[in-house]
Amino acid sequence: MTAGLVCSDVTRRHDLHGSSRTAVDGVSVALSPSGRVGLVGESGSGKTTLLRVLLALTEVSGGTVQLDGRTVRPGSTRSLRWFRRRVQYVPQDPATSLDPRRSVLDSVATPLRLLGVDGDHRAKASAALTAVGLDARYLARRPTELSGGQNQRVAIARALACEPQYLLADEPVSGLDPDLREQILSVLAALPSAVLMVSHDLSAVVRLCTEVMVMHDGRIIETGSAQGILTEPQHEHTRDLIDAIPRLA
Amino acid sequence: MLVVDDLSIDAGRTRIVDHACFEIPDGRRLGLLGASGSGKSLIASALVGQLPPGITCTGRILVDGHEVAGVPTPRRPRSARPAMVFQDSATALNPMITVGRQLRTPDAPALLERVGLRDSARILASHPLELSGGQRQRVCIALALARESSLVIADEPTTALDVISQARVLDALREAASLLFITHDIAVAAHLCDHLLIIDSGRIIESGSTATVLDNPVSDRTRRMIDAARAADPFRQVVMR
Repeated sequence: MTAGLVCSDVTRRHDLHGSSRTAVDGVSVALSPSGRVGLVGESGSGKTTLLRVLLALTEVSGGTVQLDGRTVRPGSTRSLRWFRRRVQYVPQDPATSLDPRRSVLDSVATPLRLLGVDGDHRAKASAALTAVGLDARYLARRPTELSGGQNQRVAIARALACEPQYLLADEPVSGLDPDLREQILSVLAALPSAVLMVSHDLSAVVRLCTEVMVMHDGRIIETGSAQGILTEPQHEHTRDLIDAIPRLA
Repeated sequence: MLVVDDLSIDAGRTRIVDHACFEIPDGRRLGLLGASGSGKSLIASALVGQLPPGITCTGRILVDGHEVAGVPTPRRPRSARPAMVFQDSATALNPMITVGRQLRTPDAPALLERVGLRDSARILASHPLELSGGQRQRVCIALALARESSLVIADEPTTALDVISQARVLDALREAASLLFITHDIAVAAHLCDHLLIIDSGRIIESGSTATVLDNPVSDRTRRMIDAARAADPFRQVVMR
């Protein structure tokens, strides 16, 4: 048995307008319990689909996803409680993932109830919000009363509240200004969980991750250390990706 | 040509943008930089006549000689309607109809190619929510270019894009007759724009050619922005490890 969150030879095809498009094509990824992995690539390269496969949010067309050797497939909240307690998700767009009618505290506490987590859910939610820098002043507010960075921190607190072993984050700092970006990266860097971060921000990936995977046309085309990928990219597409980074002289 | 003179934007008694003055001559690409909440996007909304309810503006906005401050888009002359590329591509497009029906021009495949979307037949047959966020944003830019307006205003158009797509989009935006490019990323702005304008808490604190602002920033805020961009350079981070 391989410890960790592992997908083996996973393929995911989408049927669109009578034709089939392969979003993820025979990909194998292993996130160890202490892993810090960055997944980079162009828009449409399959990064988010792969993340959804690893989260058991979408069916695979082939291959398997396993957590500590136990196969995971999409299913009801009840049937996946064991999995969701251990594997949590920070979505790309917090504004559309938070219920606009719920307070910040409710948004973070509700998953704890749904997942059957023991203890005082509101106290745990409050502690998670404090950990991401949102104190008691914010607990009763709704998402529309918060900035984008604050909503992103709520989404992170919601994922952290049940103390997951694995955190999968989809572009968690995309669209944030430099100050907010730094705040979010600091929170993620201090986590005890394993982290898989999907990002097109190579700077954020280098900051947070020890291992980087480059995805292109549904496949992992290169894997290596952050330093190795940046300084000695092997694949032509990886070189294009790195050459396109805007830099100040 | 765009002239903004003494523009203030208020939400009730709260002043959000305070006496802003700037201009964009034909052919200029101006980067408007500032943190979240600094008033950048509201300036763009005022320029295109789409301020949210309850938000008002005073001062002058001249687009190609037409005074349009406070005039909603439909009541403006066609030449005084800048093309706008919004931050959120998911809500900027009609989700119910295909890209091809929204981009109704014989040049559609060529426009998509200019913004880096090579699989034009598939894109044109797709509904917006069948595309990735990056692909959708490039469709929005193609729509703006299709209008052939003298001024394109792009509000954080590359935020959702990977660096390769971003580079293609920046190249596509170079084809706009003149451009107001709103971003918080000074490295991206410097890559595209010949002039920069820095806004902080609703006030313009610095403006000038890109080279001048980068080489001799006069405000602490600009200096911090430049330092943060240099610190975020992944190559520098690898060296510092």
